[in-house]
Amino acid sequence: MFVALCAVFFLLFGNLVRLQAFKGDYYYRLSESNRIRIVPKRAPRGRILDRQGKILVTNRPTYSISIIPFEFRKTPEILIRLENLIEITEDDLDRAIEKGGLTRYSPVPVKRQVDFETVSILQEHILDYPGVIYEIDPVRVYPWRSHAAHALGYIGEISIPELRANYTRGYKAGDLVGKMGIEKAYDWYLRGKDGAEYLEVRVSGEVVGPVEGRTNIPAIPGADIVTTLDVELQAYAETLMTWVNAGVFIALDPRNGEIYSMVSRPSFDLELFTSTITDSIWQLLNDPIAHPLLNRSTQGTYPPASTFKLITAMGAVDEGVANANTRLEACHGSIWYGDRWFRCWNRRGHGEIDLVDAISQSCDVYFYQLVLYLGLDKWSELAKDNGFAKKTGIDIPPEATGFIPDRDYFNERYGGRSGWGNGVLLNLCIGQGEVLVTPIQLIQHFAAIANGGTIFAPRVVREIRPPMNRSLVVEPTINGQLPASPEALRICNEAMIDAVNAPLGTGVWAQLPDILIAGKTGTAQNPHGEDHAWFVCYAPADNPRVVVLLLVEQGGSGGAWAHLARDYIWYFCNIWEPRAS
Amino acid sequence: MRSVDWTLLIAAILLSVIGILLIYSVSPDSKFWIRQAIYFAVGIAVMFSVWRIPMRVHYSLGWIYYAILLIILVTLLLQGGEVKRWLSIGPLSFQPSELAKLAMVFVMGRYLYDRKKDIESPKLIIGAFLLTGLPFAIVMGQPDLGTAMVFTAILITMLYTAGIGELTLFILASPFLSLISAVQWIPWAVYFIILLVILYATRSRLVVFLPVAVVNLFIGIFTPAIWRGIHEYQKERILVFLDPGRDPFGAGYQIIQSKIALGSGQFWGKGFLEGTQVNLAFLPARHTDFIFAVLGEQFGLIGCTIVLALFLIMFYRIIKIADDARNLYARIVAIGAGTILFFGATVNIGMVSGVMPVTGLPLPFISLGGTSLITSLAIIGILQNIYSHGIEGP
Repeated sequence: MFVALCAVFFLLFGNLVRLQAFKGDYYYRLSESNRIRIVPKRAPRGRILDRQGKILVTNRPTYSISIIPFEFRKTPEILIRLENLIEITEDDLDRAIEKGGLTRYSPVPVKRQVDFETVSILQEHILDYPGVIYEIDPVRVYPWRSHAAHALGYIGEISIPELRANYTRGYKAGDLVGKMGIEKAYDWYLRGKDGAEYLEVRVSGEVVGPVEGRTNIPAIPGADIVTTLDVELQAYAETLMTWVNAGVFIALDPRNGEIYSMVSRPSFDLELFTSTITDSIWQLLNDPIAHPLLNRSTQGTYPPASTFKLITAMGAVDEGVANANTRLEACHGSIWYGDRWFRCWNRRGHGEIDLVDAISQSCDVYFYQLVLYLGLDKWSELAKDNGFAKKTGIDIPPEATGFIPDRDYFNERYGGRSGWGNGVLLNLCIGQGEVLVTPIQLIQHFAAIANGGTIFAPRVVREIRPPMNRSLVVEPTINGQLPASPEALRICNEAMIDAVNAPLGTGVWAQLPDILIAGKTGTAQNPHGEDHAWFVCYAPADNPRVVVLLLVEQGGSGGAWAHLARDYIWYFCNIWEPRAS
Repeated sequence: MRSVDWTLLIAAILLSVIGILLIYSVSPDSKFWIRQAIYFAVGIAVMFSVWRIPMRVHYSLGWIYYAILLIILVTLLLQGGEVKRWLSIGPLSFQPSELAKLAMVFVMGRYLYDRKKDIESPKLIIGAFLLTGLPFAIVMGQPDLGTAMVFTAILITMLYTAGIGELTLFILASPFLSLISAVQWIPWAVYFIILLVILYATRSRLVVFLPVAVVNLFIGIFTPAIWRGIHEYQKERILVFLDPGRDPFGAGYQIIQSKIALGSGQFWGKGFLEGTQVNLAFLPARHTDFIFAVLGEQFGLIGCTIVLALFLIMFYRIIKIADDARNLYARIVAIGAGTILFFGATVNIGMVSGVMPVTGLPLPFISLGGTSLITSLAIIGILQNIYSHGIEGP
C-alpha cells in the first residue's frame, strides 16, 4: 500500500519539478511583468437560407468595443476619454460590467456597431485605455426586411435569466442569442462556438504577442439553417397579404409538412432589431391590440367555424350514420332544438340536400342534425384525434394549444349534468362556441385530409448545415393518422371540390380554369367586431402538392377572400413549380 | 499501552501552521488568517476530545452517524439555492460534505467488521456498494463531484483492508476500466482480452466469468454509442472536466493562473510575502482550493517538497498505525480516515499543478475553511486513539 502511495507522490513531485525547475523561468516572466489576456473570437452566426439556398438572413462585420473588467481601471481621466470616444457614461459602463458579472476575465461589450474611425482612434491610443479592446462583431442582415419575420425571428443580447439557464452550455454575457422563431429554436446550431486567443500583455496594456505553449482555440462558425420557406413564394404571399390588416397566410406541402410560406400580419421589419430600438418603436412593437410580434399562425387562437365541419362529416361516415347521399330534414334557415332556434348562416335555407352538398354549401342545419348522431363524447374524441387541442410540434415554438371542450369541461363550467344541454354540441360542430384552434393546427388537419390521412407536423427547417460536418437533414415528423376511412376522405375531397367548383359552393372565388382546387370556407363569429374569415384549400385536388390557409381577422365571409389563395395556387403551379424543377 | 504518535501529531500541526502563514501572506490585512487560527485552536480542542473517545463508541454509533449523514445531505439538497454545499444552524455554518466523509468511514467500518467472516461474498459487496451509493447519489446531485469521488476511494481502500482479494477488487473495478478504455476501440479490445486472460488464468468460476465478461462487453459496445448520442454541450462539460484548457473563461483560466503562480516560484521561491500580488489577485480561490499555488510561488520547489514530505510522513504513519491496530475494525477505520486525507491532498495538488480535473476539494490542513481543518484534525485524533490502543510493534 505504501509503495502505491509513494508512486502517486512521486508523480506529483515530478510534475512540480517540471513546472518549477524546468519551466520556471517562463512562468516567472509571465508572473512578473506580463499577464495573459484571453480574447474570445466570436463565431460568425450561421446563415438562414431558403429551400433553394437563397439567403434569408446573413451577417455583416462591424466592430464592438469591450472592456475586460479586471484589467480596466475606472479613473476619472479614463472615464472622460471613454465618454468622448464612444459616448458612454459611467452608469452605462457599470451596468454592462454587472451584466458580465459571471466572470471578470472575459471582455464585456459596452458599445456595439462602432464605426471604423472610432476603432482606429482606439487602436492608436490603446495604452490610454487599459482594459479596453475592440472586437469584430458580426451583425445580422435581413435583406427581406419584414418577410417571414415571425418564422425567422430576431436576435438580441442574452438576458440574465437566459444566461443563468444556459450557462453550462457555454453561453456568455454579451452573447447575442435568438429571441424568436428559427433564430431562437435553432440558436444552438446557428451560434457556433466561440474560440479564444491567448495574448501576452504588458501591465501597461501593450500586447506582446501570442502566449508560448498555448494554442489558440479557433472559432467554429455556426451552422447554416436551410428552411423549407421559399423566397419567391414568401414574397408572393406577402404581396397578397398587403390587402389584409391582421391575419395569417400559410402554404405547405401536404406530403411532408414543409412550409413554403408563412405570413402573420401585422408584421414588423427585422432590421429594426439590428440597431438600438427606441422607446417609441418598442411601444409600437408591443401594441396591445395589433400585437405585431405575435406569430398569429402558431400563437393566435380562433374559432375555426365551418372549416371544422369535416370532423363531424368524417365521423358520421365512419360510424355508419351517413354516406355521401344521406339526406336529413330539409333546411329552412333554422332548426328548433331543445329550447331555442339554431340558425343556418343562409337565412333562406338550403332545402333538402345530401352530405356532399351540405359541406360544399356549408349548411349549418344539416350538421346540427348530423352531430346529434355522434354525441358530445364522440365528437370531442374525434376532434382531438384530428390533431386539435394539442401542439403540432412545429419547430418554432412557442405554440398555443387551442381548446376542445368535452363533457368534463361542461360539467365543471355549468355545475353538473343538469346545468347544460346538448345544444352546446350544435354550436361546437360548426366550429363556434368554446372551440379554439391555431391556424397551424387547422392547416395540419387539412394537409392530412389532402394526403390521404397522415398527420405531418408542420415545420420550417429542412436541413442543418454545419461548416465542417455532414449536414443534418430534418426528417418529417408524423403526428399520427387521421381517424378517418378512405371513403370518408373521398367524400370530403369531393365535397371540397364542389365547394370551389359547383355553382352553389361557398368558395367559388377560388376557381381556376386549369387547376382543380378543393377548399372549405369558414366565417367565425367575433364578439369584438366583424367576423373572421377562413379559407383553407389544396390543389390539385386529385394529387395535392400544396395546401393554403388564409385567415383574415374581421374579414367577414370566408368565401370573400378565397381569390387570394387562388392566386397563390396559380402562381405556385404555373410559375414557381416549373421554374423550381 | 502507548501514549502519543508524536510524528503524526507534529506533521499535522506543522501543516496547519503553514496553512495559516500562507493565508496570512495572501491578504495580511484581512481577517482570514485570524479566522483560520481560531479554527486551528478549535480543531486542536476537537482533536484532543476525539482522542479520548474509545473506538467502541464509534462502532456502536455507526448506523446513527449514517442516518444523521443522510438526513443532513437530503436537507441540503432540498434547501435549494445556487450553492448547496453549506448548511447553516443558527450562527454556525459548515460544509456537511466534510463530516459526511467521516461518517461514511465509520458506518463502512462497522458494516465490514460485522461481516468479516464472509468478506468475499457477493451479498456483502453489493451491500457495501449500496451503502456508498446512497450518499454518493445525493452529493452527485448537489453536484459535488469531489466528495462523490472521496466516497468511492473510501469504499475501495476499506474493502481492500477488510481483506477482499486483489482479483475481486479488479473484477469490481473492471466495468469502470472498460468505461475509460472504451474511448477508442483498440485500447478497449486490448483491455478486454487482458481481462479474459486474467479471468481464465485465475480459474474463475463460470458464474463469475460470464457476468463479468458480458457486463464489460456491454459497456465497451455501448459507451461509444451513448457518447455519440448525448448532446454536444453535455460532451463539452465532460471534456472541460478532463481538460480545463477547453474552457478558457472558466476552469481553464484558473488552471493557467495557478500554473503561472506555481511555476514562477522556481526553485527557491520568491520569498514569504514576496509573491507578486498583482498576479495572485488574478488567481481565484487562492485562499482555499488553490492555496498550494500560493505556497509554490513564495517557497518554490523547496517549499512544495517540504509540504509533500510532511504529507508523505503522515501517510506512512497512518499505514503503520493501521498495521498495528488492535482489531480489524480499528484497522479499517484508520485506513478509511487516512484515505480522506490522502485523496484530498493528492487530488488538490494535482489540480493546482494542472494534471487533474478541477473538482473543488480543499487541501487538508492548509486550505482556508473551518470544517475542513477541524475535520482533518479530528481524523488525527481518531488515529491517535487507535495508536494508543494498538499492539506494540516487534
